[in-house]
Amino acid sequence: MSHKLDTFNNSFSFIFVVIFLLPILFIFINLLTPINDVWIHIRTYLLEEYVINSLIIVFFVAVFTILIGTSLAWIVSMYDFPAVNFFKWILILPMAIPTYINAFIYSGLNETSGIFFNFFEYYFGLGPFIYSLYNIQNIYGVIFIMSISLYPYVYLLCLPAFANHSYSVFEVGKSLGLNQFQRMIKIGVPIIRPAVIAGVSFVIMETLAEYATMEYFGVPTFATGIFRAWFVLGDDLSSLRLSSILLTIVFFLIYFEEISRGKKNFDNPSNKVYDRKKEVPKNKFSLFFICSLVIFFGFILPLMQIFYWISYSFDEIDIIFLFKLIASSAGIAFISATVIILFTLNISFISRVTKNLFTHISIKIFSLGYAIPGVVLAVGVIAPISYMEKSFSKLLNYPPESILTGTFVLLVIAYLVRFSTISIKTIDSGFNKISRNYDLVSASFGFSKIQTLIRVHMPILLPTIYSALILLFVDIVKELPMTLILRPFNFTTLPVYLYELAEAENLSAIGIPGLILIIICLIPVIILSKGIVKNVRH
Amino acid sequence: MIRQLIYILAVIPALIVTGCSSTPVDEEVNLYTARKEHLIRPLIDIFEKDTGIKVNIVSAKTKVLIKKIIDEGETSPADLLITVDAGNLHKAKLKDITQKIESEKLNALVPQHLRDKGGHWYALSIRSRVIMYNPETIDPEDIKNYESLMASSLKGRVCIRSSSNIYNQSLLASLIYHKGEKAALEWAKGVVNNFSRPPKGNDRGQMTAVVLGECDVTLANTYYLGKWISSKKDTEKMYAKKIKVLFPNQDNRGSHINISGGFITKNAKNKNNAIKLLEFLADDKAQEIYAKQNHEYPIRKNINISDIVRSWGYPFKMDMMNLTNLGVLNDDAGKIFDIATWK
Repeated sequence: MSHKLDTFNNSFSFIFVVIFLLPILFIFINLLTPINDVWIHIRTYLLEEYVINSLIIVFFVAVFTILIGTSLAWIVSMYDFPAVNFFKWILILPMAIPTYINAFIYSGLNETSGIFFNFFEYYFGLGPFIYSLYNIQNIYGVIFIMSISLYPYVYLLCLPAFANHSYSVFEVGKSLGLNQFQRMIKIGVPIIRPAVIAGVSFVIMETLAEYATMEYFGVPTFATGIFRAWFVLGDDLSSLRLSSILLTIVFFLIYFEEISRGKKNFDNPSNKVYDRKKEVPKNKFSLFFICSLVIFFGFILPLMQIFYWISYSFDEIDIIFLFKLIASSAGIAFISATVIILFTLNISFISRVTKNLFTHISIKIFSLGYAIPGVVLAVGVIAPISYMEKSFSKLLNYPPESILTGTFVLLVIAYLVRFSTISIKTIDSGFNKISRNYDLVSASFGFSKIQTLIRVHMPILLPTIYSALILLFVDIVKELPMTLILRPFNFTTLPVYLYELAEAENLSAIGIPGLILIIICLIPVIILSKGIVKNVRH
Repeated sequence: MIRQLIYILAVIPALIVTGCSSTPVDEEVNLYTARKEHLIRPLIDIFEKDTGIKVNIVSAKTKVLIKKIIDEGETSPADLLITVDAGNLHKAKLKDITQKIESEKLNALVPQHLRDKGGHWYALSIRSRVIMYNPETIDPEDIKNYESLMASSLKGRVCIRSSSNIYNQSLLASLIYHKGEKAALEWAKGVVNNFSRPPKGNDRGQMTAVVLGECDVTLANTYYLGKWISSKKDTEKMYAKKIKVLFPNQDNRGSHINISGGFITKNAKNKNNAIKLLEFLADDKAQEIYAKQNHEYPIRKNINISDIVRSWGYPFKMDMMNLTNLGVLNDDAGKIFDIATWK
């Protein structure tokens, strides 16, 4: 009985793995097709722009997020100045504002419903001047928006890296006569290198995958090019060709991250963190000012604009419609997150108990999923599924019908491929912490493998599963391009609705739904950040 | 515990499957719409109530929806598509995703120049692309035609949105149709020469720029001003008073008009219901609501229009060219814009 269950379980995951690999294979297989006119057009006129824009954006966003993220982490870990503990926590919060919402907000600041415009109009009568003063919708704007929205990923990972090292390392440096700057370069940098690389590679992937901001600002990059080739030029092959170029770049990036992380381990060997006496800087207020500045542009200003918009459109609120939006957004996010958890739990478990090469390789491949931009995935899901539907109808001789096309299944598959990475990394590390002796003991009781999973591993893993679920939920709830393309009939989510409003340049209506989405994302960010900050304090 | 796991494994896919098929209804029709859902929702509600046919809606940009229908092919769930611009509708026909609609009623309801010659698509409302200007700086006598926008007296005073916008493409297509490619290119070059800033934002953005003095003249679709006048926001109401509408070419071919319209997909599974929906939208009851609510023009002159729209002057002389030509000449228009460096 239990063996049957194990076999069932194995084949179950096999099917999942195949579903997972399908879109990726589909994207690459098209490289083998001959070159056509549209591709020649793209290669001649557009490719250079996509490559150059993408590279410029990625380079500067990487530089800025590292600069902001590491220096903030350094400042709040090493110095004592007013409200430092408050800053330590609040500096994470910009994470909760999806990049595209920041893009809408910053575009709106000097529009007629913007706070800049109205402030200067009201007090100085300078509204029209502010209106034509600047335009953020260009490549510099993209770099600014991406940097201010994504720096917390670097900051968040650097924080424990700095804190988990006993202060003594730096004391030693001090006693050897290193000055403040030398200490940062010679001790600080090597210590946080793995964290910075992990954080920044995440930032780079997010930047390459970003569609809505680029599209809204009219900056052509790979992600918008893939969308344009597929939908506007109507050429699937060129679109897939662009996708495969982008994926290859991303895969190299991941490879680079893995080797550069290497086996280096800078962990505090005794695992003891001494009570640290923070340095009091010469100029307290400059540090206070730097932290305030970042949090102002990353969080406070966007929220001020959101609330200003709400005051504009307060009487237009349709409670029932909003409730439906929240329900459908949260519903699909929760169901998909649960499916992904079950799936990754299973894969992780099978790779633990079997020497099956197939599952080991597939785990490696799963960790690539997050690197595939949503636009690419949507494209990679539609085509093979409708091809399969047509083949089935021919094979079984019934009139062609949409079985999966236009249903939630397509959307869930797309989420599964993209977001499994998050869950598998978390759960795999959870499994690694469980001693193998448990498995042996469980086997000696005559438990089957799957019984071991349910009765032994699951209870231990629960906290890990819980945090994976939160991470997944947030990422899915704010997902835009895949939902936009793959959503079924009568189904709208908060991001899709916000995107449509922004597209119609009805920015002032963004207030309420925007705030709701930010709050939904904020809850888990607060839970997570409190946990991290608390650990760091010990 | 195992039972629980199996339960979870079984229940979740089941939830998803029931979620997508929802409750089975006898009569339904699947609508892909490029018009925002809130614009058509009130009409759909009436249709559902009158006929008992459930309308399932997915909204996105026209190009996305058309490509989806192509990709989904024979298995496409879409029965009909509603979008704006005759150019879009014609392109869909060329891509072979439409079918000929056999409906005496529709032929009677939709005037001939507002539907496809082959009966593949039908108009559901009319809008006009007109000149809007700042009455304090511009004398309306100087801008009586679209052609006036290239006059050297307007140098640095014109702002119009990007040429990637289909409304501009269709306007240029109508110029090609009436005056030929050479004259159309000259016009485009002349207008670009008069730009006060590179194209940015949508029609509403151009109107804002006129109000705030960044430019003096623009081209915009009529309903945008209707939305401002009827807005609950004080700023928009105030702005509406600072800008005026001018219907161009009243002494010659008439003002350029365009439509919103719909077609039935080639592989529609609920064809009859889709025809019923189109007939309903073209009929008097829906026409009145649709035109009034969106500040557009109905497809027949006997229908009431909103007071705001009437106040600009109605009826005005409309360009009566068959709108299929906007689609036919769309590619040429795109090329001319490129040559004229209209971004």
